Amino acid sequence: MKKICLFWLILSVGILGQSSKTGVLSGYVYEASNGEGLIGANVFIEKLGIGASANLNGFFSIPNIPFGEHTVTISFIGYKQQKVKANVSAEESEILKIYMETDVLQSKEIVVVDSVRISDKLYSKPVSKIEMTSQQINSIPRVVEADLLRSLQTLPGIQSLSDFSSALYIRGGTPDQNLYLIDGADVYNPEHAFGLFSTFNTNAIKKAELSKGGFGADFGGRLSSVLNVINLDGNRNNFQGDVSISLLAASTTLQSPLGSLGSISASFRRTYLDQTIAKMMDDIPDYYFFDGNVKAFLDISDNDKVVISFYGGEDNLDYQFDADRPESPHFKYRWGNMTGSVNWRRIITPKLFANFWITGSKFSSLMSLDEIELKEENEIGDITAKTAFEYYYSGNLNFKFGFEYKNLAGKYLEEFPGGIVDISQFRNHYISYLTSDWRPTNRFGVEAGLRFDYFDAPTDYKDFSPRLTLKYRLNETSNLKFSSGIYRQYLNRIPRMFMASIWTTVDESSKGSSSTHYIFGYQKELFRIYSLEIEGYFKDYKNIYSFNQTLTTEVIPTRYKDNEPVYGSMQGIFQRGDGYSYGAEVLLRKEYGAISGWIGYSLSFTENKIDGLNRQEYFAPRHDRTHTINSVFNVDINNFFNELAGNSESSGSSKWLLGLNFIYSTGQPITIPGSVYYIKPFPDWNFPRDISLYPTELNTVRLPAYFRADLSLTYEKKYSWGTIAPYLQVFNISNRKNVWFISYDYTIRETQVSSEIEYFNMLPILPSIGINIKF
Amino acid sequence: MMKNLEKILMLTFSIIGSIILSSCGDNELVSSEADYKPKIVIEGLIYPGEDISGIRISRNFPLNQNVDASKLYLMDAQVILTDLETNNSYNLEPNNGTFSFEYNGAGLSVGYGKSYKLDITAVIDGKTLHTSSITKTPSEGFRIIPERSIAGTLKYREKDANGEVKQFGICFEPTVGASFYAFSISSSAPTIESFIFDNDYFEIDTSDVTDDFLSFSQRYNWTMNLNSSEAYTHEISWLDLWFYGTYRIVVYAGDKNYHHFMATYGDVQEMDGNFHEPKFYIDGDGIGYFGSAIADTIYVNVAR
Repeated sequence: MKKICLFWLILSVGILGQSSKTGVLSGYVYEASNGEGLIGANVFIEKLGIGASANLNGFFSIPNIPFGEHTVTISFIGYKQQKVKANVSAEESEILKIYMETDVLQSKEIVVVDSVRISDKLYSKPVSKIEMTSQQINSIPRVVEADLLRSLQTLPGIQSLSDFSSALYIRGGTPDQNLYLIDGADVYNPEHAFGLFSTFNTNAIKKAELSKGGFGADFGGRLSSVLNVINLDGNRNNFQGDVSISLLAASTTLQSPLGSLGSISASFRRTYLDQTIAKMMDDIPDYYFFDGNVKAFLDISDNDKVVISFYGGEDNLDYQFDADRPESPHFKYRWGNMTGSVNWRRIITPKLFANFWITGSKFSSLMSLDEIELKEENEIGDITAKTAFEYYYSGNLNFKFGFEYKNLAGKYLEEFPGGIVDISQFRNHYISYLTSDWRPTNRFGVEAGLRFDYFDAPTDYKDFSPRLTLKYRLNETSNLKFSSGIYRQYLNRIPRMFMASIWTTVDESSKGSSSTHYIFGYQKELFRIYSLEIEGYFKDYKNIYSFNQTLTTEVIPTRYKDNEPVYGSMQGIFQRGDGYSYGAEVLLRKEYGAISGWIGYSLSFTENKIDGLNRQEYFAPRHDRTHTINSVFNVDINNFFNELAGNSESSGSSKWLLGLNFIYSTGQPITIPGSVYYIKPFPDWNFPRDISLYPTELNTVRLPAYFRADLSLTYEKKYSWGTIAPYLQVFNISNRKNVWFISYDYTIRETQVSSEIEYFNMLPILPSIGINIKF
Repeated sequence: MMKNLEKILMLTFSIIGSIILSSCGDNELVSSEADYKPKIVIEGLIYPGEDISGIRISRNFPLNQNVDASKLYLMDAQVILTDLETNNSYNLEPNNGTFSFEYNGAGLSVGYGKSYKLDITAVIDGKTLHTSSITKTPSEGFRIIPERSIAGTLKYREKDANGEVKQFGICFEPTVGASFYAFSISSSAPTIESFIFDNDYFEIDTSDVTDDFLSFSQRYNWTMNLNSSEAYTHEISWLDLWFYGTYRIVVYAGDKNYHHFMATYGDVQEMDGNFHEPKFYIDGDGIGYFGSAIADTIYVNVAR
C-alpha cells in the first residue's frame, strides 16, 4: 500500500514540476440568474482552436496559451453565447468569472442551432452517460410525486421491476450494483415509501448524472453504474423559493444569498396521509416520510470555495392489525438515511484544481412485531475522506488523480423466537486512481485510467482495475466511441420486498465481485436538433451473490446466548454465481423546441448461473426484459401552435404544457410450478392435508408484455412575483392490468382438485393533481 | 399549411396511439405444461425403536388439471428399505386401509444414529420411475421433560402476579443428530363452539373458522440449531391456540431430510410472487421427504 501511495506521489510531483513558457487561462462559468456553476459549459479560443469544458464545479482551465490578449468564446445550449477578452501573461493570470444568461428564446430550435452543435456535446459526453435536471424530472408524467429514479426508468437500458419499485436495473445489473452519491456521499438504500419513491427530493436537485457503464477510474465500488446527484448550491443573487403540493406530499425549497460569503439552499418534504386519510379511515396505517436537505456554498476567496451539505430523511410506519384488540400484532417500522459532506474546492495553481472531501453516510432501520417477539435493527454507514485532483497539463492532455479512504460499518441484529442474528462488520477501503485524457488530434481522444482498491476484510483484496475509453469523430455530425474496464464490488445486499435491503461486505463466506464492460457507441446529430445515440454492450459478472431463499437450511450458529443460538456470520445467506448481459440501445432525443423528449429502444439479454439453483444451468433473472420501448414527449402547447402559425415564441404570461410517457416491454421471466402434489407434513395430523406446488426450471415462462401510457397537463401562469403551475397527472391512463405476479388458488371437492391462476396486477389508472409555486 | 397539419396529426396520433397501444394485448399468462414431469411423492418418517409404517407413496399431477384423488396413491409401487450398516434390504408391504406402506416382518428394527435407504420403483402414466433417499436417524436422548415444562391447564392468556401473560412451555432434552425440533399442535376436539372468538388478536367470524378449520385446529412451529448439551424450553404462542380444550403437542426431533423439507416445501413463493425450488434430499424421480425422527408427546389444556 505504501509503495502505491509513493508511486502516486512521485507521479503527482513530476506532473506539477513541469515548466511551461506559455500561460494558463482558467476560471469559473456561472449561471447569471443564480450564480450556480454551469456544468459542461464550453470555453473556446477560436484563434488557437483549443478549449475546455467546465467541470462539475463550473471550473475550467486551458493551459499552453501564448502570452497576450485572446478572445474567449463561452457557449452552452440554452444560454446566450459570450465573447470575452482575456489577457494571458507570465504573471499569475486572473481567474475569469463568466456569468451566462439564459436565452429568452431558448426553446426555439433556431437558437440551439446557432449556439452549440449537438454533435460537440455528444462528443464531449462520456460513454453511456445520461444527465437530468429537476426541470426535466418534473416534466415527465409521474406517479403522484416527481421522482428522479422513476424518471430514469423511462430511458433505454434502465428497467424497473414493477410499478411499485423505483429501483434501477441497469443493463442487466441489479440495484445493489449501482453507486448512489448525493453531494459526494454514498447513499445505501435510497428508498422512501417501501421503494415506491427515491430519497432524492426533485426540487433540491441541480443535476443528476447517471453512468450506465464504462465509467472512468475516478468512480468504482459497484459493478454496474454510478448515479451522482448534485444538489443546488443556492441562489447567490436573490432569495428564491419553490413550493410543491401533491396529493401525497408537500415540499419546499428555499435559496438565499449569504451576502458576499456565498449562498444557502434548504429543502423539506413531508407526506401527510397520516394526518388526513389515516385519521378518517381505520384500515389505513399511520405512515409518513419526510426528508430535508441543507446546502451552504461559501465563497471564501477566488481560489477557495467550501460547500457543506446535509441530507436527512425518515420513513415511519405504525400499524396494528386490529386496532380494537390490544394484543393484536403491532408492526412498527422506521427507516432512514442521513448523509453529510464538507467539500473544499481549491485552485492550487491555474492548472491544478483540487477537491477535498469529508463525507459521512448512515442508513438505519428499526422494525418490531411485538406479539411475535420479532425485532430487527439494520445499519450500514461509512465515514470517508477523499481527494480528487484535476491537472490540466496542456490543451490536449489532462490528468485526474485521487485518493480515498472509506471506513465502513455494518450491523444487523434480529431477535426472534428461537434465536438471534447478530452480525457486525467493520471494514477499511483504500482507493487510489489516475486517469489521463489525451486528445492527439481534434478528431481522436483517449481516456485511460487505472484504479487500485485495497479492501481490508477477513480476506484482503488488492485489485487493479484498468479503464479505457476511445473517441473518434467520424465527421462534423457523428462520433464513434468505445469503452472498456474492469469494475469491482466488495459489498453484497439482501434485497427485500417493501423493506430496506440489508448490506453486507465480503467475508469468509463471500468473495469480491467483478465485472468487465465492453461498450461500443455511435452518435449522430440529425437535422441539427436531434441527437441519436446507439450503443451496444457486453458485461460479464463473476462472483455475484443472490439471496439464498432456503437459508434456514444452511445457517449455523456461531455461539449460544442464554441457550438460544446466535448467528454471527453471513454463512448460508447468499448463493454465489456468475452471469453475463449483452444488448443494444437506441436513443433519439430532442431537448429543445415546442416538442421535446425522446424515444428509446433497448434489446437486452441477461443470464445467471447460481450455485445450487436450476441444476447449475444458466437462467434469466426476474428483471430481464428482452425488448423495451420508451417514449417521453413534452409539448409546450402555446409554442406549438405559435410555431404552426409562424409566429415567434409566445411571450404571454401563461402557457399549457402537455407530457406524455409511453412504455412497452417484454414480460418478465417467472418460474411456474410444474406440478402439484399432496403431502401431510406431520404423521399425527388428520388426512388429507396440504396441496403443495412443485416449481421446476427457473424463469422459463414470461409474464404478459407490459404496456403503460401516462399523461400530464400543466397550466403555468406567470405573475410579477413568480409562477403558479397547477397540474393534472394520470398514471396508466388506459387502466391496463399489467401483471405483477401470479398465484394459484385450489378448490377441493370430493375427489376432485381444481386450480385457477390468480393474477395480481400492478398499479391501475391513478389520476392526481397538485400545484407548483415558484417565487 | 400541409406541414402544420402533419405536425398536429403527428401529435394527436402520438397521444391516441400510445393510449390505444397501452390498452391492447393479452394480459393473461399463456402457461406451458411442458414443465410437468411425473414424480413419485414420498411422505415417510421412520422412528428408532418403532415399527415401520405409514410411509405413503403417491404421485404429482400437472398444474391446472383436475386431480383425481382416487389415483393419487401408488399402491403397486415396489418399496424397499435397506439398512446401510448391514446392507440388508426389506420389502415394505402396501396397506390399502391406510394408503401406506409398512414392514410386517421381524428382521428389521430401526436403531439410533444409523443410516437407512428407501428405494421406490413405480409406474406413472405408463412410465417406470425410480427414486431413492437416505436418512440417518438421530441419536438416543431426546425426550420431553414434563416436570420442567409449563403444561397442564392455563386460562386463555392467563396473567401472572406481575401482569405478564403466561405461556405453555415445552422443556426437552435435545439430542445429537437432530437437525430441528418441530412442534405439531393439534386441538383434540375442535368445534365452532369451542373456538375462541373473543381472542385478543383478530376479529374472526364463524365463516372464517369454517373455511380454514384445519389451519386453526392443526398448527405447527419449529426451532433449530439447538445446543444439544442443554435442556431447552420452547414457548407455545397463544397465536397457535385457537380453541378451548385439550391440545396434543407432538415434538419431533427430526433429521436433516425432514428439517429441510419442512423449512422449504411450503415456502416456494417469494414476496415478489416468483417461485423457487424447495430442498429435498431425494435422488431420481422423486419429491417429498423420507426422514427420521424421535417423537414425544405432551398435552395442555386451554380453559375458559
